[in-house]
Amino acid sequence: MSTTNTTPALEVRHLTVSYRNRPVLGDLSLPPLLPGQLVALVGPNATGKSTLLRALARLVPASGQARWDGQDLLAMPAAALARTIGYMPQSLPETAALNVLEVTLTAMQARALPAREEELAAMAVLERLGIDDLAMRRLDQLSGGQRQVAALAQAIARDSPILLLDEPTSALDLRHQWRVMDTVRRLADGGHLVITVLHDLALAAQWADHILVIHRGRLHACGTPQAAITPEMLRTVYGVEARVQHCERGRTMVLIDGPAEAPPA
Amino acid sequence: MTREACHPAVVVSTAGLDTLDEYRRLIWRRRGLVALLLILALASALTDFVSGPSSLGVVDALRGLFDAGSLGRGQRVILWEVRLPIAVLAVLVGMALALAGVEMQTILGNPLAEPFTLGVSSSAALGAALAIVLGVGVPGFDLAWLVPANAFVFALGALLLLQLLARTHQAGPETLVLFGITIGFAAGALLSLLQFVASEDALQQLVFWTMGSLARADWTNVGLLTAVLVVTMPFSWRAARRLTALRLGDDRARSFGVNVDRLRLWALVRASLLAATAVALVGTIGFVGLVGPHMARLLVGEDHRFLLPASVVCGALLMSLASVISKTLVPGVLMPVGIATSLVGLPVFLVLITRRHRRR
Repeated sequence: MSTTNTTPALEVRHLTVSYRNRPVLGDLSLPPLLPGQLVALVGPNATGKSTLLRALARLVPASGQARWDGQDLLAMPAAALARTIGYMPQSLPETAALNVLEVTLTAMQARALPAREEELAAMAVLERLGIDDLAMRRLDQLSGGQRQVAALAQAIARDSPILLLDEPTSALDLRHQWRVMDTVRRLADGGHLVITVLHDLALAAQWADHILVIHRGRLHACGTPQAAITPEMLRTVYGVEARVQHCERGRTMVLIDGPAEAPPA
Repeated sequence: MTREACHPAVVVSTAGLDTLDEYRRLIWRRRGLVALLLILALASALTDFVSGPSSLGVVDALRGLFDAGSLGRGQRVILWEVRLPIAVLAVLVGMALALAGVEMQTILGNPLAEPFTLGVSSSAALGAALAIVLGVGVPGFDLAWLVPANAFVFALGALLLLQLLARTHQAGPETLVLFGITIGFAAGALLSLLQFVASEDALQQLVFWTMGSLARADWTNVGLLTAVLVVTMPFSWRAARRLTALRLGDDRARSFGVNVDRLRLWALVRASLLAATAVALVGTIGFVGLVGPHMARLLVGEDHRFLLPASVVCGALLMSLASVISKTLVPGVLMPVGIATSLVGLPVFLVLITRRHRRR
């Protein structure tokens, strides 16, 4: 996989998604997103972050352009798309009588590997995420957090150049949050383009190269964490008065003082 | 921890390799379970074959199976034209209903889905009733085939209507199940109407049909259902991994590259064909399409590479046991097998529910 940071990889232009004639994403264009980048999608609830991921994974009908290295993601054959994009929805169902290894293997069908190679690759992913001890446990025997890491294993196991993760840390304790974000960071450093929805701005600022602030279906701001996470953005987008402190080693603290006088724009 | 390179691009620890060995053992255990169930189903079919109200003993029956010439003409007819078709048809009907049931449960994401709950059986019964009570049926069929032909057309029609409703209303799996229940109730109401106006003879015939019976088994029926199974099963097997993916939700399956709409459509077509043929040949049979897959799921999990064959053999076993019970419960009387499937299926289903509840 290419690890160059000079060639634009994922280009999204004028992407529009509507549910029942109500636009959820309106004419959304993004700066070129590159292999090797970890991109955090942030913004209030119901502003279109998950919809953007679902549109790129072609799970909702969308118009506009989404191209990866010149190939049209919106028109690519399904199997080729599955090899290009690893999508992780918010949680795994607990009712399926499958164990974690089986769930991971199921996600790998588009890779069409020989059985033994597929099993080794799946096991390697579980080890990388630190859930190899859960490999033979069934989904209904896992906690919500463990299921979430298993879901991440499914996305990673496909070894696709683009990873789209929908709130991969939302049900995790601090230790697992760190482990997941560290794994995601390493994947990006290894040449994947990782786009992840995060609600925790401190986590986004700590790990992401770029922040995309989505507000009401449009790109409100983008840039490095220092550039994108500002008191003004928090007031306009989230409707809160807050202080932002950028500490050493790229850490950012967001201290909420209370609701802004004016509601979000 | 020692780490061992197993593939140029993949490194797995020795503990990981041990886990993979455990997984291989699990796979072999599942294969063993399917084989064991198959042996039990064959043993049950053999018991079915040697039991019956006639005076033909077990030894004579077994000898007659391998050397038909050792029997008198009457015994040969009983063995080869009555008992063997019944035993074989019981196994085939069980296989067909269970395969239809497991595919329906998976594609609709509903553990209660089966030909019975989706209105297929009621619609088939309505078709049969039209033939029995009013003599109305598919043109071109003689009296002997009018009832099964009608039942088949109505069962298939019910599932096509279900598809049509689902497509026009862009219904999800839950709505599809509700549509199925609606069709079942509508067919049931019309069936009651026909029962109300039926003559005494027709009513008796109809009640017997709706109870499900293997008494009409012959080699033509066996051939028909075998053909349907031979045509549909390879496609089910091929779809096994995609069906497993569907158990994790539509979005996930789609993101794995599965064409969910096409998978669902063809699985429903296969299930329709299997259920409609089985119900047309033996009448309304409940529980097998529901209990067979649940039993299999409990034994081998939901990797469909094992769940599909396990469901098929569980269905065969249940139906064959029901056939034995239908012959032996009341000595000298051949009870409708539909009653026996409920008698066999109900306790098994209760055990499954309570075990599942306890596990949680």
